[in-house]
Amino acid sequence: MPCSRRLLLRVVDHYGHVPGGGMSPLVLGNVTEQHGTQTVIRTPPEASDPGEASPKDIQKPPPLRSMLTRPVLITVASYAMLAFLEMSSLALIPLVWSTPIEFGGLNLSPLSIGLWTSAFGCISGILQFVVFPRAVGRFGLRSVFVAGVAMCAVVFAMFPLENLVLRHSFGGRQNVTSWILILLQLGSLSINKMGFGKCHLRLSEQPVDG
Amino acid sequence: MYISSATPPDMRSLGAVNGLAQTVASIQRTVGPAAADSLFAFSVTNNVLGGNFVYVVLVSLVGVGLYVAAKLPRHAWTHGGG
Repeated sequence: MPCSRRLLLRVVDHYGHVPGGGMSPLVLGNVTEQHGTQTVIRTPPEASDPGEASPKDIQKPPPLRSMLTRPVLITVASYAMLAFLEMSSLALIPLVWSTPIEFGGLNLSPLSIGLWTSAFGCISGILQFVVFPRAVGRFGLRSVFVAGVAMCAVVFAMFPLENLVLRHSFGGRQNVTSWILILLQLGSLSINKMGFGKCHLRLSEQPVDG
Repeated sequence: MYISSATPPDMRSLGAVNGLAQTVASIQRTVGPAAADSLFAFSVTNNVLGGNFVYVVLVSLVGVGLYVAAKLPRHAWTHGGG
């Protein structure tokens, strides 16, 4: 009577991973033992190089190339895109704000730029403490991340709007509308930073095989 | 780990995946400000789309980012309590 058991091996690189299915136990294959006769080892169909994974190289870490599965690439790419957009907006804010109005800027003085950005730093830090856990609990991590990426569009769209308001205001002076737009911009940027909070939160967690 | 619990095949590749993510993100952090500021200067100097070309490019990059982020699995890491 053949008895079948699942062999859990930690050697395997991505063979045991079910795409899109999240964490799966790292199943190399089903080992079917037939009493007295022979042992048949089946590997899953997605195993591209079955000869590589043998119990001999249990101690060897998997090669770097084997980690480049689709989920890894998507996760790394989304993290990199968030980093790119966040740094772009952080670099654009002082540049555009100090540019004269006729060149598409806001013509803010260095003093007010410094005041705005430092106030933003303080308030954003508090917001990460207060809002981020509640937002994650309510909407889930993925939604917070997607919102973080989407808020970058708001940050970028605010620059021409602020400039437009200043062009049409009397003497190019700052008015209530432009302050509101600046506040909206900085608020979106702090939501964008919550996307990073998500990444860092996840970076400190240990995965639990489900 | 955000990166790792979603993705890595093996406990021991967590470190490598983490390092890969940080490397790629750092490269993007290097490129990002330089590209954005240069693009702003370019679009203002040449008056491309009235100087608003940089925002069009960056908002479409947000679209790319959303496209990638939408591919993230929805439930892969909920077991971690997230």
